[in-house]
Parts: sequence; structure tokens; C-alpha cells
Amino acid sequence: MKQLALQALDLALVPGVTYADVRVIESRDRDLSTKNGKPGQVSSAESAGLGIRVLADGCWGFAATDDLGKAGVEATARLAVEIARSSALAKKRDIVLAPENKYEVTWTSPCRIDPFSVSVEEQLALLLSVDAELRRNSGVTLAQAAMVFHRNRQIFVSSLGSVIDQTRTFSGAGFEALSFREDEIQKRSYPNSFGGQHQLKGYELIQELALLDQAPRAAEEAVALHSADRCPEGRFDLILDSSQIGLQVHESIGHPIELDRVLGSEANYAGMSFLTLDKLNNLRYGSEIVNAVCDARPEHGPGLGTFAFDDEGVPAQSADIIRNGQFVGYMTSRETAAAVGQQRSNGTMRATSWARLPLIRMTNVSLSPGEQTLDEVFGGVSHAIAMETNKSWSIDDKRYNFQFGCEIAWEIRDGKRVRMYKNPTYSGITTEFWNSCVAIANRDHWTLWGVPNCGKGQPEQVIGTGHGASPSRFHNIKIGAAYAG
Amino acid sequence: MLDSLAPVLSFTECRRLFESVQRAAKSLGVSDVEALIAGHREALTRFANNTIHQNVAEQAQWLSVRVLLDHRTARATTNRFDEDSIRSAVEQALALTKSVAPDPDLLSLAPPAPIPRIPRFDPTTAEATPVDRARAVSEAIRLVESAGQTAAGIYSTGQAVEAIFNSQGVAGWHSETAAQFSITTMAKDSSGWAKASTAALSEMEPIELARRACDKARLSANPQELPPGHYTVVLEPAAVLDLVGQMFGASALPLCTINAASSPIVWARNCSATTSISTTMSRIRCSPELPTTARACRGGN
Repeated sequence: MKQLALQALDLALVPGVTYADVRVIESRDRDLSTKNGKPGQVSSAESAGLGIRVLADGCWGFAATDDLGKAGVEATARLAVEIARSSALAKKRDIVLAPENKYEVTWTSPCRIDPFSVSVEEQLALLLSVDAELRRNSGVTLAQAAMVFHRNRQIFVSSLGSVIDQTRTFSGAGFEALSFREDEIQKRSYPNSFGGQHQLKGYELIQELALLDQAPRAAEEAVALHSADRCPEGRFDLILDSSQIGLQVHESIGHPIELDRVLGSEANYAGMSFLTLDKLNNLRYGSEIVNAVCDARPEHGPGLGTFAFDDEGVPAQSADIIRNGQFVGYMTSRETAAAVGQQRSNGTMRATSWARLPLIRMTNVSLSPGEQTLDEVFGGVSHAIAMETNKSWSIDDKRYNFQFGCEIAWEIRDGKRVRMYKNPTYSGITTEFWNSCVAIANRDHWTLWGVPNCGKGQPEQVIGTGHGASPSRFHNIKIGAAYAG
Repeated sequence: MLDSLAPVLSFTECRRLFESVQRAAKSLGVSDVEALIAGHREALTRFANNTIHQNVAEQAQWLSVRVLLDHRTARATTNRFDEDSIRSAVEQALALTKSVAPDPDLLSLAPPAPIPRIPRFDPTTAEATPVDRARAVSEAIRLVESAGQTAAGIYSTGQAVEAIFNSQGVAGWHSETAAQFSITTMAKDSSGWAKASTAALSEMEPIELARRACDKARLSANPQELPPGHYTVVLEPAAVLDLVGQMFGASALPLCTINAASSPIVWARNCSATTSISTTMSRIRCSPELPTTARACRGGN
């Protein structure tokens, strides 16, 4: 692979090319699912290919192929340069990159139990056990469980002289119990909705999740929701579980701090950002207790955004985003950092595969743990509504005005659950919402969640991101409007 | 190779690949096997702030093998087409299949049936170059700039092949081209948007689309705050398509299109507050024969 990457780099470095990098990737996937006692998806996949990115005549060009023969690689290198030169037909100014060093590194993510070494029979047997446990509750209409495993090895080489060899292994699993009654469907998922929990780990993640133990509670709650009152409409104190905080961070902190969005690159698709450049160091994003970081370093945890180097050869870093409520940082690339006068990229360029161009993507954008115990988060107010597990999300193209739905809610009085509510929703304005944050649980309750389905870019790239979060309380939030009619 | 004049994968190449799959399957004692074969060669020129900022091309292909054995099935996929990799994919699919519990409701492989041939391959689209796209984008940007607005968008062209073969004798092959141009224009306090998709590049009118987006931005200048409440809403067809895609799932309706009668007014009337989901659904057709349905769910025709 390394030799192939270096050959491709040589081919791309023709006169007029001022920078080039090549990523050669081999990947392996396993997808398993069950549905009402039967196998669903049972599949494996392997892929290999390379992508070449060049800067020629001051413009970017990128071409990718899975034809790894000599002729295929030569043609791809030629095409990358041809594309870059064509871009100059609509050029305003030359691309400038923030400086970066040369690295020669090999890194493999920690993986205690290789998920591909565990038999498919054993993995399916666990999913079917969970499925059977869910359907032991006669009110469960549909039981679904799934596991996914992914490994990729990437060799990155660049004209700076870097040779970076990274191998990362991801695992994910989860289940959902759906209960149908008349024209209503209620659902409970574990450990999270939309595929469960995903981390940069081996099969040990699946063991840690204890899926089977959680199935009876999820089934019971899915059925009980039919008899619950609808979540009331009005303004209430709101407590969110850590998985919903993770998604709230993703949508209302992670996306708006992408500097390419701020600068307009995504204006025709993913959108822009309310965080215009004048707001850097000049905006009270949240209350004093709100701190957020963008941290791709392994010491932050095994997130979907954890790596040693990003996809343009910049080392993983931790960047402060919100410090004591103040907005202090964006996620950057070498190009965007230079465009706003910063000395260095903070290393957030990522691509979904060899076929796609690296873009600024969330790494692990996390809400830092607070100081409260869980009892203090729940008990610090006489009355609140607590919501768990995301069911729907909606936010405008500048990431400012949002509405979320959750699977279940509870009325909380003096720190105790007193009543279940169904169909809970809440809405708000990003900065008003984070400024209303009055309690964040401590590190004992902090989880690094994986969001496996973040979309951005054209052609679209769906990538996994990480979000550390712990349960938090917000004061005087608008709740229930979505079902109020 | 990235030579756009050659087909990504011809019918003959696909048939040979399936023959390799069958040989491997037979040697492993498997008689029921299916292969999905696909390839694409696509390019996309992206612009923002009145300049081209991302400009990409990719060529990819894959072979997905499904084995059926005693009411069990599983799938293995590879993008390497040498004999060893194909055999490995068949072995993987077989190993996965043996791991699965039998499903008495599993359908057997489909028998051969007439497959309508839908011509949707346009050589001009397949041959479009980076310079072709960049020139069109440059002209669109010039028009937007002359209106005092800022443009962002994409111009993509490409071709794709999809084929299905199975041991019952099914041998289906389809190739098509697709081009898409979409543009967002931004003025001081307003914006406009337009998009079109087509199989034939000659039908694509980037300048007209840029003009339409510019007009929308101009006409929506000085927007007024609209108080919350119930209103009659008129949606243009592209907005309806996005709504339908969200409601019913683009993957569930891979070739859906809005009924040809769905002018914006007709649709708005049928989407009144009292419209039931079934009424809405009755206006959705799944018609792969229609020439404009190429990737309609993604294209927003």
C-alpha cells in the first residue's frame, strides 16, 4: 500500500502542482441485524482504492479510483491535475495552506477483542437472544437488533514528505422495541436510537453494552408509552439524558463551528452558520458552566472522531470551542485556517472513503463534564421534565433555530420520577438554550457517544462523529409545541 | 481507467464476472447464487463565494454475491474483480449463509422475466469534461455576480451501470447517465435556489437555472416577519419532492416521481390541512420508464 501511495504521489507531482497528497485505503465491514426472530442484514464487504488531491494553478483537484493497476493510477493522477487546472476558470484567488510539518507515523487504534475474530454465529445468537427477550412482552410488535463492525487501514502520503499509516477499528450495536396500537407507534431504543452506540473499540464494546440485560425495560417502556399522557405544552425546566445532549451538541455546537460552513462552502447543501467571524471571542454562547472542546486525541476517549492524524496529515488536537460560556474556536483545515489568518489547522479534515475528498468534519465535539452529581441535576429544582433518547431532529441551515423529539419523558418532582409522558418535544434558539444551562452532571455520568450518520458535502459523505456528554438541566425551555397543533 | 468514452462495465464484462462467481459457487457446492454488479464514473464541480472551491471525480465498481442455501441467505461484497477476490467473496457469502438460521419465508431466486430496456444513456453526458463543467459554472457565476449576488452550487455529470445475474438465468443490465446542476444565490437579505437533473446534457440549462435563482433572490428581497399560524402553502415541485422523500423515504421509492399532473397549484390543493396520508400517497407513482425519473429522488426534478 505504501509503495502504491508513493507511486501515485510521484505521478501527481507534475510541473505546476504545488502540493499533493494521496490516501490509499483498504476497508472491511460486517453488518448483522435481526428482525422479529429472523435474520435481517447479514453481510460483509471489502473495498480498496485511492484518492489523489492536488493543488495546481492555485486550485484544488481530486480524483479517486479503485483501479489500482499502473494505468489506472496514472490516469487518476492526470485527471486530478486536469480537474485542478479547470477550476482556475472560475478562480478568485490562489488557495493558501497553513504550514504543517512532515510526519512518519504508524498508529493502530486500541482493540482488545477483534470483532472479526468473533464468529458470526455468536454475534447473531446474541442479537436473536435480545430479539426474543423484547418479544417476550406481548405488546412489542416489532423487535430489531443490529451490530456493525468496520476496520480501515489508510496510508497517507503528501508532498511535505509525510507517510502516515493508520488502522482504526469501530464497533456498534443497539436494539429497538416498537409497539403499534391503532394509529400510534411508540418506540424505545437502547443504548441509543438510530443504531445504538458506536465507538472506536473492538468487540469489547458489545460486551460492555449488556444488551440482553436492558431488553425487558425497553420493551416495557415502549408498551407503557401508549397509556402515558402526552407531554404538556409550555415552558418548563428540562433535563436531558446524555445521549440527547450528545445530539444537541452535534447539531447546535458541532455543525456551526465548522469553519468551511462559516465561510460559505456548504451554502448550497448543508447550510451555513450563525457563527460569523465577528463572533469569535465575542459571543456568550452559553452559561458560565458550559465548556465544549473539539478533541480527536485518543486520550479524549474511543470516539468515532478519534485518530492520530486527520486526512490532510495534521496531528490530532484538542481545541477549546466554548470556554466558560464564551465562544473561542472553530474547527479548521489548512486552507480555512490560513483564510482567517490562523497559524495552523486544528486537524479536522476527514473523508468517508478513498473515493471522497476530505472536508472539515466534527471529530469528537464534546460538552465537558460539570460538577454536579446526578441527584443534584435531577433534584436541584422542584419541578422539571426529563427527556431521554432522540426520536427526531430539525434545525435550520444556520444552526440557530431547532426542535427535537425524544422517545420518552418523565415528570420530575423533587428529584423523583412521578409520571411518564409520551411524544415529548422541545425547541429553542441555540444561544438562548445553552445560556439556560444550569446544571451538568460530573464525569461519572459522562459518555462518549457515537453518531454514525452525519451527512455533509457534495457528493454527500456520511461519517461518524463523537460527542461526550452527561445529563444536564436547562431552565425555562419551550416544550411540547410540536404536538400542540 | 478513467476514460469516459468506454462503458464503466459492459454487459459482456458483467456476464463474465458472473460466470466467475458461478464457477466458484459450483466448486463450493452452491447452486443458488445471485450477483449484483455496479460501477460508476462520476464528477462534480462545486462552487461557492462565486468561485470553484471543490472539484472531484471518482470511479468505482463493486460485485455483491448472495448465496441461498436451505432457506438461508447472506451477502458478501468486494470491489476487486480478480479471480481470487471473486472466489473469496463467494466463500464469505457461503460462510455467512451457513451462520444464519433458516427462514421458511425466504423467497427463492427470481426466475427470468422480461426486463424492459430503458434508454437513458447519453454519450454527451458521459463524455463531459472538467473544462465543460467549469465553463458552465463560470458563466453562471458571471450572471449571478452581475446581479450583485453570490452563488454556490454544483454541476455534476456521470455514468453508472447496474446489473443483476442469478443462477436461475436472470441477466439484467442497465446503464445510464446523469447530470445535475443546482444553485443557491444569496443577496443582501434574501436568497434563491434552482436545480435540475437530466440524463441528457443537452437538456441542462445552467444559465437559465442561475437566472431563475437570481430572480427568486431579487423577488424575495426585504422579507417580512410572518406570524405563526395556519396558512395555505404553495410548494414548487422540487420542494414537494423533498417533502415526499422525507415522508416516505427515498430508499423506499428509488425511482419515484411526482405525478405529471402535479403542478404546484394541484399539489397545494391536495395538501390542505385535511388531506390524509393515503390521499397524498395516491399521487405518487413509481415509474422507472419515465425519462425524467433518473435519480429523481436525489435529483429533485
